[in-house]
Parts: sequence; structure tokens; C-alpha cells
Amino acid sequence: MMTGVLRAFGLDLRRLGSQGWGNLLFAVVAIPVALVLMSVGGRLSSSLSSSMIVGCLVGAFSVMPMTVFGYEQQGGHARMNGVIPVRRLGQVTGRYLLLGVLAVVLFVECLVCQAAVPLSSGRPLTPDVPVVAVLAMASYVMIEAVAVPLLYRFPMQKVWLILFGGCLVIGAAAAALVKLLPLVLPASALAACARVASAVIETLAAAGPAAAAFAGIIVMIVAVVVSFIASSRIYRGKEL
Amino acid sequence: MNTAMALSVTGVTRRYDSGFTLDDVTFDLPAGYIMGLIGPNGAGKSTLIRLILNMIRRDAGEIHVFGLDNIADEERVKEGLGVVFDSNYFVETWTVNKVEKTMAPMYPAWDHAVFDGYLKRFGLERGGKVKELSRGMQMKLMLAVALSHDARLLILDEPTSGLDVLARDDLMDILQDYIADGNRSVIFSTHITADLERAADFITYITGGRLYYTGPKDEFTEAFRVVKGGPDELTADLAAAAVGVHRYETGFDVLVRAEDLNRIAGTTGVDGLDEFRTPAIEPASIDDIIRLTNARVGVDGTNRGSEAA
Repeated sequence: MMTGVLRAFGLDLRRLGSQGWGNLLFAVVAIPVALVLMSVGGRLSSSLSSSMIVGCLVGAFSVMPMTVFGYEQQGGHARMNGVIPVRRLGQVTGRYLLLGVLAVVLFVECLVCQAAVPLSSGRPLTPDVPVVAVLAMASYVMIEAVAVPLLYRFPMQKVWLILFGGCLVIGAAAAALVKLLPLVLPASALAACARVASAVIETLAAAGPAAAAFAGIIVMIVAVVVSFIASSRIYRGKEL
Repeated sequence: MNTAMALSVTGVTRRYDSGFTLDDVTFDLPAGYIMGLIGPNGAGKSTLIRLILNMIRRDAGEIHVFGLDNIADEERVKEGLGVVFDSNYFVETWTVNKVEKTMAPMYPAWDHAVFDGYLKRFGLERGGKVKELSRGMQMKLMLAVALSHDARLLILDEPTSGLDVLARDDLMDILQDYIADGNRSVIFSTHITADLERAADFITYITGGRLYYTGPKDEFTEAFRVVKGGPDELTADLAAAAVGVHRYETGFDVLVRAEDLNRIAGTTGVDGLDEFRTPAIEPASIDDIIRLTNARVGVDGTNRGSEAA
């Protein structure tokens, strides 16, 4: 089994580097370099630079696994998965291993960026650097946990539609909820909801950033396990 | 289960929502032989190959490759398989060199020198990109990969479709050399029956999702005769014995089983053959058998065309 997983992982790495490793390296290096250049002279505030680092890295890394699926959906390349001596479960495991490696690279790059950007603008490092890195990694993993089973099931364009459409629907539903709740619920119920929400926030704040990071890791693990099971089931029944 | 069999397909069935069914196909390919998989378009040849490769789920049956179940022992089975499809399956931006770097770790028995030898034989440059290769050269690249890891069974899906006559000849030579040690086997689907005449020891003929014949190639063609005659020579005896009929304005071709010839009045001769009388009786080629065992309506809607009995 492990041999098969490593074979599949190796194949996915080759797919990822199909346009040349230079391109991939540029994508990884370009973001920190651009952020450092922007921060020179203090043009980025501390909070803005953290947000930009997380946003840029999660965005760039989220596209990478999609590249691998993209190749599979092009021409007859998916048939290669039927030729190689790797069981389907091994192929899915290999792909999640690739996601894991990318998540670790993202985590490290997030740490580097958070260190490089303040230093280049003459600001001190903030103590929440590792927490931000964990949360960036968790965000990335959550996105992939949703996207990967969809990519096993649907063509790329449809997955983009589902993801963007889903975000829009959830956003609209949340906005509608906020607007409608005061009209539907009595004031006492709203006050109770507010108390619960503030209690949760206070508890999390009291627990400190380490607890938040720990919670992020737990959520990440659960999401990956559920995603892996879904992907395996979908891919097992898929025609190559 | 016979371990001397390179490939054993038993009762394999696959149903599609479209209504097409590959129904209860059973055949064996002994080690050391080449089998041609033939049939008209849509007969189920590629479906069968994809089932052997576990690329699609089967609804019933079993497939064993050198005694190993193709699903339970998938990795070991595929380590011993070489596969060539009718079109390229590598990422098009890969170079030939990258194809080797990708495929070599997949197979414990990968032989760099053998791969290199085939690249030279086929005129493939290591730096050339897959997308820049012609269809024939892409097929040769797949073949080079299939032949470079000591595969015991080659599975080729329409491998000659993009090749000129010289390349097809070369491929047939390679396949003959490949099985020469008596331990390796080849199954290949094709529409080009000249390739079968030259290379195949066995034929498996599928039509309409059903197995029509499996066995030695010579017995396949020997089992049938083509009777040709004028429009008014298609007697009731002949029509009753026909496996397939093709009518045209000036006459007909009827495919009959050789064993049925003596039951048909006026069709006698040495081995049932007599092409100097009418209706004439001729040996059946593989093309004749495929053509006449598949129903087809005439383009003008008349009863001209082929009728499978």
C-alpha cells in the first residue's frame, strides 16, 4: 500500500511540475518577495500585512492541487491512472499526501513572510506569528477539504461554480439572517443569543492564541478525514 | 484457475445506463501467444480492455492475469502489464525524458537501457515534448514504456490506428519478438485485420456486446465460407443456413458455417470451396466475417445491405 501511495505522490508531483519546476518555484518565491518589497518603507501596516500574507498564500496554494486535477481532466491523461500499478485508494491517499506537503510548505512560507515583512519595514515581530501561520494552513486545508471531493466528482469549471456559488449563497444567507432575526425573534431571545456569542468569544480570547491554534488543528483534522472518505468513495466508483 | 493462462476472463458483464451491455464474456489467452480482439465500432472491445485494467466497474464475472485477480491484486497485476492506448495518455507538456522519470519509479523492473534502446529504434528524442510528437510517435512512446519494465502481458487498444504500413510492420515484428520466449503474451484490439492475419494466434470476436467467437485464428476463418451469387440465386436453403447476408443490386454475399455447406443444395466442392461455379463458394476473411455478422440497413432504406442471422 505504502509503495503505491508513494508512486501516486510522485506522479502528482510530476503533474504539479508539468509546466517546469521554475514556474512553481517562482509562484512560491514571488509572494514573499512582493510582500517584502511592498513593506519596505512601512507602506504596509502590521495588521494589513498579516491579512495580505494569509490571503496571497492561501490563494496561490489553493490553485496548485487544482492544477493536478486539471491535467487529469485534459485529453486522455486520466487513463494513466488506470495504467499505473497503484490502487485507487493509494492514488487518493497520494493526493492527500501532496496536499499535506503543500500545507506544510504554506505554513513555513507564512512564517517566513511574517518574519520578513516586519523586519524589512523596521517593525518588531508580533508574538502571534505561529498562530497566524496555523490559521493560514487551516484555511487552506479547509478549502481543499471541500474542493478535492468536488474535483474528483465534477469537471473543474463546475467546481469553481459550486465553490463561488456556495460562498455567495452562504454570504447572502448570513446577511439575510442578520437582517431578519430582529424582525422574527423577540428582544429577549436576541439578547440571549448575544450573550452566548459574547461568552464564546470571551472564552476563546481567554484561552489565548495557542488554544485557537489547537482548535484550528482539530477542525482541520476532522475536515481532512471527512474529505478523504468522500474522495475515496467518489473515486472508487469513477470511470477512468 | 489455470496459472499457465496469461489472461482469463470469465463471465464478465458490464451494463451501461445507455442500454449497452457487455454480456457474459468468457475467454482465455494462454501464455506465449498473441490474441486479436476484434469487432465493429461500439462492440465492447475498449470496454473489455478497460475492465481488464479495472478502469471501470464490472457488474459480474472475474478477470485473472497470470492467476492473479485484477482487482484484489491490482498493483502486482499492473506491475506486469504493458499498456498502449489508441491515443496518448501522458501529460502533453512532458518531454520524453520526463515520461521516463515519471514511469520508471512505477515499476520495480524498469530497465533504462531497454527504454533507451526503444527510443533509438523508434527515433524518439529525449528532449522532445509529447505534444510535438505525431500520433504515431506518441504511440511508439507508449509502446517503449510498455516494453521497458519486463511486462508479461501487453494490452494494446487500437495500437496501429495512427501508424503507416511500415510502422505497423515494425510493431508486428516487435510483438512477435516479445512473445518469443513463450512466457509473455499480447492482447490487442484492432480494426486492421491485416495485422491479425500476420501476428495473431488467437481471435476473440465481440459484436453487440456479446462474445461471438474465441479461439485459434485459423479455426475462426476456416469455420466460415462466403457464398456469392446473382440476385435470383439466393435459395431458401441458403437463406436458412446464412449467418449473415449482404444484398446488393447485382447479387449477394452470404456467410455460412462451413459445417452447414453440405446441407445447402448445389454447394459442393473440395472442402466446400468452389469459386468457379455459381453461386460461388469462397474462403471467408476476417473482414467478411465481421461485415456479414453485423446487421446494417441499406442507405436508401431498401432491403439491400447486410442482415445478420
